[in-house]
Amino acid sequence: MGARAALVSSDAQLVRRCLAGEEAAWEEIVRQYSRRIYNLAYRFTGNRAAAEDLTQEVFLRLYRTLEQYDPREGDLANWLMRVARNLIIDDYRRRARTPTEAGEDLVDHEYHLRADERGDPHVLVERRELSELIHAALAKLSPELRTCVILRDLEGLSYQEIAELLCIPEGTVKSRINRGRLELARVLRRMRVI
Amino acid sequence: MMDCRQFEHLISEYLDGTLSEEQAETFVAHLFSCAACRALLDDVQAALELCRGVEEVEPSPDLNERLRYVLRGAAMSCDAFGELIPNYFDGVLTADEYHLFEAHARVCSNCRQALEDVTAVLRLLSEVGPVALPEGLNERLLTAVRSADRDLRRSWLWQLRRRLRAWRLGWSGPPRSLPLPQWAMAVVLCAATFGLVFLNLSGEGGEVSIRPSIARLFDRAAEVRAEGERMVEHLEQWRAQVSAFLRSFRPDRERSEEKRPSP
Repeated sequence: MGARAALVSSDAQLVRRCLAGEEAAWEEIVRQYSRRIYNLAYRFTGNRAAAEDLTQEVFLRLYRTLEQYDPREGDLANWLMRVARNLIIDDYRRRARTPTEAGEDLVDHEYHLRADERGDPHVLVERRELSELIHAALAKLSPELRTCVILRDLEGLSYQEIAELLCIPEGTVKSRINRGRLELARVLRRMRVI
Repeated sequence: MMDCRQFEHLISEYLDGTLSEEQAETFVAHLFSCAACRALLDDVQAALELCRGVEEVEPSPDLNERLRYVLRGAAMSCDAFGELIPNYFDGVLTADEYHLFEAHARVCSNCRQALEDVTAVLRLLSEVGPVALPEGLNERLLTAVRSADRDLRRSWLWQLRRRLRAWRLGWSGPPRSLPLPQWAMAVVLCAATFGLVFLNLSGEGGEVSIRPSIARLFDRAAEVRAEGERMVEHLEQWRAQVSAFLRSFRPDRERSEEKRPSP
């Protein structure tokens, strides 16, 4: 309980320093959270450049909404990641409605995949491209299924948290996760990753 | 008894351990009896294991630096940005101001739009060139100038002024503002006074012999004055010519307005 109180107090202090315009405080937030937010953005965009742009968007949103953070409602990390997830999912839904160019990175990976189809698929794994392959497979899911699978199996959120975040019933979340996992397994099988 | 469709529907809940005991038993019974569903469950399990083992993607090394840059831009007020716009176009921003300015333009769509608008206006202004000359204007100008020059050279007044100018170049005597006829009159009057005084002092019985001389002098003065008046008249004519010449420079529009009969 003491540790929790100390965390809340240090969060509140950090936010106060940020709101006072202290550059060092913002640098601390950037250092602590940029990697995590960038990875979340990459999971949804499957493209490094787009993930970086999205990370910048998230930090701008954080900058503009930080005054809404209330330390009594939870720690700063949860609040920050909730803001980040909301923005990244909104962006993803927007892009899903108006499909533009596919992520360049994923296109590259698919190219490698085709080139290596005759060879041993495990070689790909050994090349440490597994993460990219999984992202490429996720990119083939429909937006609803993909969102649920990323949040559940990559971000580790509970069904209830996902239902709250996406504003949909928990039963729908369960159904989408199930369908998403089945679809992901089929895609990975076709890609000879499993 | 469970069919393959029901089995597929419950795979996630089985893997998450949220099936009831009874559902789990039926699920497992089907699993043992159906090779296709067994393979499917294996695939899903493998996919999930892969997902959970996904490594973090490494951001580009300058991501944090870029984020700091963006946040500095967000911290700048739009008013402060507006004040720097003139200096930005004059190229006199300091390096710090320039980076801040660029960062703010990147994160603030309103200011970015304002900057684009000013850029567009400046570009348009720089493209504004001189209007084209009216057709035949150069020829009309040359004709008018030649004609005025010819008239001028014919005039004895011009010849006189040219000589006067040559004379004045050697002596800065009378004020330049003194008009020529008055100057001529003054010379004549001085000469008359001088003659009168000189004759009065040196001649005997001068009164009788001098009077006709004085009268002649005054007559001569009147002639010079009349000549001066003619010169003034000539000047007026010349000025009217010049005015007419200058009127020919006016744009056609004004001329047409002048020609339009008054209501």
